[in-house]
Amino acid sequence: MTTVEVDRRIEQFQNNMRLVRTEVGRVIVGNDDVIDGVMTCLLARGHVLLEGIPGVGKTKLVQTLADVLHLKFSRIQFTPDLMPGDIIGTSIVREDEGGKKYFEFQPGPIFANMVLADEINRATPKTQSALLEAMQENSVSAGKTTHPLQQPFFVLATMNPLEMEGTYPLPEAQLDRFFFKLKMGFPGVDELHEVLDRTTHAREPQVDRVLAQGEILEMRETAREVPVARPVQDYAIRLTLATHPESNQAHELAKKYVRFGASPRGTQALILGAKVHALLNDRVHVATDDVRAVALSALRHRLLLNFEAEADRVDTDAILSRIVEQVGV
Amino acid sequence: MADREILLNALDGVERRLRLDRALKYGIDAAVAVLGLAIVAVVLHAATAPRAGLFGLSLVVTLFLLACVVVVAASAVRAMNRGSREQAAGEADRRAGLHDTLASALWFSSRSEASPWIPLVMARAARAAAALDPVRLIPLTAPPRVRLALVLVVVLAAVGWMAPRLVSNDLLSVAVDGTPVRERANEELAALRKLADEAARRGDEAAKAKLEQVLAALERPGASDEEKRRALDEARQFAEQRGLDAAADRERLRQLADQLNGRAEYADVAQALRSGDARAAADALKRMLPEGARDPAIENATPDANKTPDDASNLDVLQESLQSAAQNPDRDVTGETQGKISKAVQNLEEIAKRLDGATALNQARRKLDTMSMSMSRDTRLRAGRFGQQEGTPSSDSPETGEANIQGGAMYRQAAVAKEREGERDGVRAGDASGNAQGDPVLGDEMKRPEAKYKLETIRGEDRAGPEGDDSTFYAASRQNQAKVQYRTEPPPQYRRAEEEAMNPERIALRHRPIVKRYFTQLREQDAK
Repeated sequence: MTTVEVDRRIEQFQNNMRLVRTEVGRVIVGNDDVIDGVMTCLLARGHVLLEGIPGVGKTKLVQTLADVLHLKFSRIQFTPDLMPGDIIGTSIVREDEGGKKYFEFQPGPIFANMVLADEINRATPKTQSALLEAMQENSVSAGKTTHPLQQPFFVLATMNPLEMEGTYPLPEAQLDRFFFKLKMGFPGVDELHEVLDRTTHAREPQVDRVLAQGEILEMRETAREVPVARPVQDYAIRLTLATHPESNQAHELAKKYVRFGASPRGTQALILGAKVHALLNDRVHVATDDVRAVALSALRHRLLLNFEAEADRVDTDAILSRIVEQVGV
Repeated sequence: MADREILLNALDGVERRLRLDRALKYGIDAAVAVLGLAIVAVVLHAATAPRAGLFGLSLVVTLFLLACVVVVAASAVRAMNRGSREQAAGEADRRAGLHDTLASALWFSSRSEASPWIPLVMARAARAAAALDPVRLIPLTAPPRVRLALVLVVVLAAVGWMAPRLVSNDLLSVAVDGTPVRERANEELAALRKLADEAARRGDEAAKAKLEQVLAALERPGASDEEKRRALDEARQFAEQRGLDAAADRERLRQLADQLNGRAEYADVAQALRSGDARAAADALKRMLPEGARDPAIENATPDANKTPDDASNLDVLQESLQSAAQNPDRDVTGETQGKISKAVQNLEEIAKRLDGATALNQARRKLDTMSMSMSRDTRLRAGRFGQQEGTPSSDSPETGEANIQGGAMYRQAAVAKEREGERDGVRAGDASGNAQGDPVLGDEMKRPEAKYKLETIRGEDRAGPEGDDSTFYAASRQNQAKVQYRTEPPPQYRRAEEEAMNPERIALRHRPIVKRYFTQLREQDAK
C-alpha cells in the first residue's frame, strides 16, 4: 500500500462517516457523541452497551443505524424466560420421507450482522452468557458444531438503569466483552422540540442505506492501521494501571473505591477506540487526547467497585474522570 | 530538506527557547529565596547577640552569604540543564494544540517501521513544525513569583527599618501608652543607674553593690531571661529588707517621741520624731542650743566613710542622749546637756540619711517590679511557651471527647448493646461460620408434571457433527398426551426469594452506612 492509497482510504473513511452521521441525524436528535461512539465500536470490531432511561431513543438509534448500514439486522427482546437456545438457535428433530429422524440446526437471531439485544439485563445470567462466545470469538457453538458468524458482527445491547425489579446485573465477564458502554442522557429543551417536530406528524423521517458491508470492512481495516507512538501507548497503559488498587501506579480513588481495575481488554479498547477517534478528527496518528476522549466509554463498565464506593454513592464515571484528569501525559 | 530534519531543527529552536524561559523562572525563584533569607538574616541580626563569623563579618551575615551562594549556584545549574527533544516536542504540542503530532513524529522518526502511514505522519509533523514560531509559542513572561519577590522586597525594607527598634526579648511589643518597650526599658535602666550613683555618693556601699550587680545582669548581652529574673529578685529582696529596717527605725523614733511627752521644750522634737522625720527632729534640737553653742562641726558633720548608716547603735546612743537631756530639770541648756543634745543631733542626721537611702531604694524596687512584670508578661506570650502549654497531655474525659481508647470503646459497645436482638443482621447462631440453619422453604411443594415421556434414539450418521454419535432425547408419548399445568407467572413469594438469591449484597441499602461505620471503627481499634 502506498501513501496515496492511505490518503484515499482516510478520505473515504471520513466521507463514509459523514454520510452515516447525516443519515442518522435525520432521525436521531442530538446525541452526536453516542452516534460516534456506536460507530467507533462497529469500526473497532467491538460491541456496545447502551444505557439510558426509557424513551431516550436507545432502540431507535440502533434501528436507524441498521437502516443506514446495509447489513442484516435482528432484534432480540430479552425477558426473564428467554433461553440460550432462543438466541443462538437450536437443533430440531426432523423426519425425512422415509420416517427417519435427524437433527437440523435452526440458526437463532444471533446469526445477523447487527444484533440488537434489547434490555439485556432482563434475561438471566445463563441466557446473557449465551452471547459470550459470539461476542468474543465471532462464532456460535451448538451441540458439537461451531458455526462462524458473518462479518461484520456487531452486538448492540441496551440496558435500563431505573427498573431494577426483575433484572439481573450483567456478569463481569459479559460486561468486559463490550467495547464501550455509552450513556444516553435526557435531551435538552431545544432537542425535545426537534424530537416532537419529527415524530408527531404523519410522516416520520426516512433514511437511506449509505454504507455497504464491504465498505464497513474496509473502514475497519483502515482504523486498525493507524500508527500509535509508544508514549501514547504508554499513557493508555498508565491510565489502565491507575484503576488497579494493588498497582504501584494506582490512583488514590482507585485504592479507596475499586475492587478490580480494568482488564487488558480495556487497554485494547482504549487504543482501538482512540484510533477511530483520531481518524474521525482527521489525524493520521493517535494522540493522547484521543485516548482521553474514549477513556470513560471504554473503562466505565470494566471497573468493579467495592462496598465502600457503593455506601458512599461513588460511581465509576466520577473515579475515571478524576483519574483521566490527574494522570499526566 | 527532509521532513525529519525540519522537525528536528524546529524542536531544537523550541528547546532553546524553553531553556531561556526556565532560566528566567529559576532566576526569579533564586531571587525569592535570597530575599527570604535576607529577611531572616536581618531579623536574626537584630535579635541575637553579635558573634564573629568569617572575614570579619558577623556569623549571621556569613551564613546569609553562604546560603545565597548555594541558592544561586543551584539555580544556575538547573537553568543550564539542556532539556530533551521529547520534552520540547511535548511542550510544543501542548502549547500549539498539535495533539501529539510532533511527539509522535519524533518517536516514529527514531524507528524503522515500513508502514505507509509513517511518511504521512512525518509530512504532517514537518508542516506543523515549519509553521512553529518559538518566540510566539513560548513568550517570556514574568513568572507569578515576581509578585512574591516584590512583596518580599517591601517586607525586607520594612524589617530593615524596624529591626533596630526591636528588643531581643520582646520583639514588636509596645506598651499600653504607645511607648516602645525598649525605650521604656532604657529609661528604667537609666533610673536604676542614677540610684546606684546616689547610693555611692551617700556611702551606702551595700546598696550600690547590689544595684550594680542587677544592672550588670540586665545589660549583659546574651543574658538569659532566667538570669535577669534572678538578679531582679535578689535586688528586690535587698530593697525590701532595707525597707523593713527603715520601718523599724521609724518605730523606734516614735517610741522616743512618746518618752519626750510632757516636756514642752521638746514638743517640736517629739512631733518630728512621731512623724518619722529624723532631719526635722535634728533641726528642732539644733534650735534648742544657744546660738554660740551650735558647733559648726555638727552642722557640717559628714558621715564617716567607713561607718555604715544602718548601724543600729546610732539609735541606742540617740535614745540615751535624749533621755539624759530630757531628765535635766533645768530649763536652760547647760554645758553637759548641750553636749548630749549635740550628740543626739549628730545621730539623728545619720538616721535621716539612712532613711533617705531606704526611700530611694524603695523607688528602685518599684522600677525593678515594673521590669520584672514586663518580662514575665512577654515570656508568657512567647510562641514557644504557648506551644508548650498547648502540648500538655490532657486527661481522659469522655464528656469532652478527649477520651483515649477505653472511652471510645466504651461508647461503641454501649451503642451496640442498645440494639435489640431482632434488629441486628446476622443474629442466627452459626452465621459467622456458615453453619446457620437454612431459611424455611417458600412456595408450594413442587408437583411432578403429569406427562409421560418416551426415550427415542437418532442414529449418528444422520445428524450433523464430526463424530456422528447416536443421540437420545425424551419425546412426548404418543399414547398419553402431555398434561403440563401452565403457569403464567411464578408465585410472588418465589419471585422474592429468587431476587434475594440473585442479589450479591445482602445488606439493605439503609443499613449499609451502619455496617460500614462498624467495620471502620474496628479497623481504627486494630490500628491502635
